[in-house]
Amino acid sequence: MRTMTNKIQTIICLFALLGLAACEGDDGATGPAGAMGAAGADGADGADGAPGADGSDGSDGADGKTSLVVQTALSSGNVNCPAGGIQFDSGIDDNSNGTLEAPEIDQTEYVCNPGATSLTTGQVLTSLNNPWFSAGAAKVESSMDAVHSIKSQRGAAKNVILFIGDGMGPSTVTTARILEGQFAGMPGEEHTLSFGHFPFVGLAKTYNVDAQTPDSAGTMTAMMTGVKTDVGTIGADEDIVRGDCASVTGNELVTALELAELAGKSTGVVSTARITHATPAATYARSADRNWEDISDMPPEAVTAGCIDIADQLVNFESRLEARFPGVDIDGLEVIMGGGRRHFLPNDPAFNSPDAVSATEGDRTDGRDLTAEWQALYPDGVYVFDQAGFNAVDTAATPHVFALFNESHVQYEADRGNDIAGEPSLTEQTVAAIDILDNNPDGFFLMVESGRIDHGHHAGSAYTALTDTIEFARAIEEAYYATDPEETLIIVTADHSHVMTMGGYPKRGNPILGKVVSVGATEPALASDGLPHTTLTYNNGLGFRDLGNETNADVSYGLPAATGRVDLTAVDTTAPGYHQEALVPLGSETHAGEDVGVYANGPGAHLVVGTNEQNIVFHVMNHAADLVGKAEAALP
Amino acid sequence: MEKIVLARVSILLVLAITSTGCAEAGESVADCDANPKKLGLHFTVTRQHDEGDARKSLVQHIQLWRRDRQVAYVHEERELTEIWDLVSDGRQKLVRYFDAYKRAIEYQPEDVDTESGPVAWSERTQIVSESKRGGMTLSTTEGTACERVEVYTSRIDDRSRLRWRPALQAVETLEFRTDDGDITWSLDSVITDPAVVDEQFLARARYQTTDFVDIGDNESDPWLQKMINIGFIDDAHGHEH
Repeated sequence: MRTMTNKIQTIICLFALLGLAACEGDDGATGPAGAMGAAGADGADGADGAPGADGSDGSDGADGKTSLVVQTALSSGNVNCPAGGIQFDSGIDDNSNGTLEAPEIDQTEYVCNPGATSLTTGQVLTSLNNPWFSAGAAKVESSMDAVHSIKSQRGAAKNVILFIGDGMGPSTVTTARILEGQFAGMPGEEHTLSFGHFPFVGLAKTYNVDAQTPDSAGTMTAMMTGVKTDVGTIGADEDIVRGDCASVTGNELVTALELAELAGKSTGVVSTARITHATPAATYARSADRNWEDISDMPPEAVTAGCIDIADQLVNFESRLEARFPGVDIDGLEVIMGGGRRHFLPNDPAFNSPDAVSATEGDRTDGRDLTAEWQALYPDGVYVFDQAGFNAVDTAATPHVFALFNESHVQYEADRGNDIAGEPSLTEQTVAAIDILDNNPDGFFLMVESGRIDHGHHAGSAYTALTDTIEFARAIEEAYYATDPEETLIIVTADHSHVMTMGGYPKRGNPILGKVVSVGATEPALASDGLPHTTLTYNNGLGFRDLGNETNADVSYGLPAATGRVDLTAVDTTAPGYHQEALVPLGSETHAGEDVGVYANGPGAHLVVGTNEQNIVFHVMNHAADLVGKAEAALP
Repeated sequence: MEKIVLARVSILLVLAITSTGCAEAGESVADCDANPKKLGLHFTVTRQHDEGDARKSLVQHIQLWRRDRQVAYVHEERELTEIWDLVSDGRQKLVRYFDAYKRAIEYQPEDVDTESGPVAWSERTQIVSESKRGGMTLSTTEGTACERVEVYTSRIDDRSRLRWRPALQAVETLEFRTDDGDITWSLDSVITDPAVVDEQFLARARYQTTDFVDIGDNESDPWLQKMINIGFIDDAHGHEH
């Protein structure tokens, strides 16, 4: 610190004071004696005297105190000078010791350096050359472009595709993208599933009106109708009573698919589950119980009361919708693809398909063959049940397709090769569906469900759930390329989550299905019980299974629950047949109640932001395609 | 209640076989008019093992019903029936019927049983597979027609013995030793009335059936909730002596 001292002489001047004195007047002449006259008036005041002489100079005053100024340099980051500068402290050196001490400071002032208003290239060169930095900056740029180029006006979307990954919660998305990346030879974490590139993402709260952790029926009803409802029920509001046929009447809702149909668009439903299962059913049906898939599943009183099973509602979708809106003339669902033949065929082995796996494939107890009824309704349509029939469909010229590829659910993607007659992948089905639906110049509405992500999790098989998720992402990618993003809104979401978690501290690139190997290590990390553990585990369910290369996750259902810790030292946990450990022993792993992601691209996609009630999905679709407005306009 | 009904049916069926299935003595196996692809077999299965100085014995009663490409195992004490279908591609499909509840869980082909490898259809329908029987030594034969019996012993050791009814393609007695003890299957009765056989399958076809993968989505169903919470319902067991 450098100190500079100035000495200032203080001069004190003394002044003399002058005193002034007054003069007396002359006496009067002597008069006769008389009476004593009155006393004369006082004379006038005399004139002021001349000024007195100046007094002598006073003596010099004593020397004044020394004033000190202390200058201190400030470095950057100082609270008063963020960019640095100088601090000036001034005051009287009261104790005359030549140092300005804190009590002596009378005033402090700062002269600050100017702050930086821009970074030079040199200053940020390290960041600019960093790929994380440049990728992040590029992402922001592309996001800005997406925001600026979005078509936000109502009705801008000609087509709408809703993709539902059943049970595809956040942990499923994260781990599936890592697995897909690792299948491609990458570390995996940096990879992105196809729909991860969509510019707009929000969250959906999945609870049902009466359930904290939801099921597919209530959640899909919310997304398809814009109204949240109760668990286990389809196509009606919360006033419905599960299992009570009569409670449907008066509480029916209209679905986005039905509005699209009324608006003159083509419509389609594709699922790897039974096409009568809760998620696909919620696009076209109303039912007091999700399990009323065919008449044999219904209580007799419900049948007597006039409730119609879900399979029947699907095949007679056109006439039922026309009955609800008298005077309209629609052309029905153009595309129906999925599993669940059992619900459309009579309980008679004579109606078995060539790839039946049961002695009697059909479940229907009313003797009706709904596949034949559908063919009679749509004589120009094509009914298929296997890969060969699917491959033979002329998508440019076929107006209606009804495909039931399996007696029950379609195979897991990992297990698809085991199907007797062969089944197309979800990607193949999606592309074919679009090829048929886009023949309509007025556009289309398509719902595609990957229904067996959910089943893989229920069985406690992360491998199966994740490989089905990867196939789901491929289907979305192909749908994106098969449509014009300028006129097609694509929404990807899940109905609910599952209790699979990704944890431990595995190093980068560690096999996502593998045992945890810590950063810098080569051998699996051991838990406090001395045993290795996997990155993926389930909170509940059947628990550990080591079925080797078995690709059918459902094999585990034949075995008792085996939860708790297992010595995995000699187990290949990346094998398709490995089932993760679980904490709580249950006969089936359960859904989870956390939020799910909603990903969107195309007109109206910008509305998918923030944390929302799940029924907002309908409202986004409705805004984008103006489904209600166009349906109303089409009504006679 | 359910177990009593099953037992009564068994008695009636035992009476039925004596008058329907078998031809006169002296006739060949070909003269037996029983259809081995459609019949019922009632077994007593005894499992014995040593526990300390004591010899423990567990007795169970199992009915085996054949109907074309289907075979049913009725575990009487457990009130559980497993029906296997032979699928056209050679795989097997299982449905588990919980008789006490009149409910069933349906599995896809080979959903179960892969931990120990696939089971040959002949073993599924006969208890002893053709290949295993072919690996044993035929020591003697006795009887004729439906009653003809072939007696086999293990070629490797004397631990397995089989009395085989070729006309019925059925085990009369089977004794073998495992690491867990000795097991004996003994045929108690044979039912050949096709209508009775059909009813075993048709009655259970009327149960409410749930696809196994749908169990997790049916949390509000009390019975399935029980399945979810405790897993495989298996609360009835054989009795120990």
